[in-house]
Amino acid sequence: MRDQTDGDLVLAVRQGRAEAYGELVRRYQGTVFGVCYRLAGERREAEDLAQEAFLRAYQRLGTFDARRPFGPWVRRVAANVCLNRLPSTPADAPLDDERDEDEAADAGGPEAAWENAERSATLRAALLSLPPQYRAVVELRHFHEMSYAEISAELGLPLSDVKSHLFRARRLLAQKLKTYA
Amino acid sequence: MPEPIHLDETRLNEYVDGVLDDAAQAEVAAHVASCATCTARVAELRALFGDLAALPDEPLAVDLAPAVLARLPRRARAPAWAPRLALAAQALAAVVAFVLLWPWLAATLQASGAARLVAEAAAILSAMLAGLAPLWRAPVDAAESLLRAASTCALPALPGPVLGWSLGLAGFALAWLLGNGVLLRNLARDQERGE
Repeated sequence: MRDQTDGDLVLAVRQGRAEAYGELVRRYQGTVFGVCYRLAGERREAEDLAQEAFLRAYQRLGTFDARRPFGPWVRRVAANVCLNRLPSTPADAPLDDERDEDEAADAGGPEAAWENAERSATLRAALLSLPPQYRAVVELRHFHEMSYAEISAELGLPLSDVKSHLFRARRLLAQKLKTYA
Repeated sequence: MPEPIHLDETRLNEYVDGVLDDAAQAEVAAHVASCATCTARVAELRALFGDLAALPDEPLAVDLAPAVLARLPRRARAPAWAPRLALAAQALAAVVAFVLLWPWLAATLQASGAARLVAEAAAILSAMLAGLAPLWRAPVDAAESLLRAASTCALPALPGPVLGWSLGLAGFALAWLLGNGVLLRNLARDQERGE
């Protein structure tokens, strides 16, 4: 099954072969979890959200065009699931810093690796500190490469709001990165 | 030398996003090239873009597939052999139905004089072909002779069980083709591809 294309697996799932969906989950769980972790900031919650995203994607599989790439589609579903769950206020809980420190240590402890991990942790924390709608537009623009118009349609926001959220979010992120630096 | 009026945030962001038309893009580029402040702002934005692009996905420590599969609706977990079982069951049902109906079908065929009907139809076709003879002499001659022979024949008097089973087999094949082949063949093929 591992040599099947995503399109073949989608067709198999539509015929009721659940194990084919298991293979799709294994292929994309890493990137879907990445989306959820960026938006939720907490490992356990991100795992739950990733599961929810795959269940939502399964329910919507009938609307998916099997000739198109599955990865971007399921990541977008994950973003939607997360954005619907975002709290109305910025997250208070810090990211799992412990994990980033572990990664730095696993890399052998060179200073560059530690600095990269620190910078990633700082950026993740800065993203999480953004108001949810700002975080949403940054996620869709920078990690899903959507246009302003696509973001507007996805979030149901006027185009002018999409731009103002995005540009303010960038300014806030730049300021926070300067502060952390 | 005084600095020029700086570009607003919207314009700069659209420039770095590359969403301006060619003329506007060139205009902003020309301004940025001549303005140290806007150059620094553009550099800051591009650095942020780079940081976001370089942000690695957090590694996932667990396999989510078992948990996801366990939560799928039951309909999704129909066994792979279900369509094949349906094919076999329908084929068997077609055979049983035909065998059960055979006594009635045989009696109906006898009463309708099927052999006589075949002979009459062959005679009519033979006469029609004879009218077309000038156009298709050679092939029509052959067909006419065949039909003439058919018009004098009668259904073979096979033993009852042999005739019954033969017709039963033909009926089964027809029922299978119409009932199962069309609907379930594609399903079975898709499943083969999904394995």
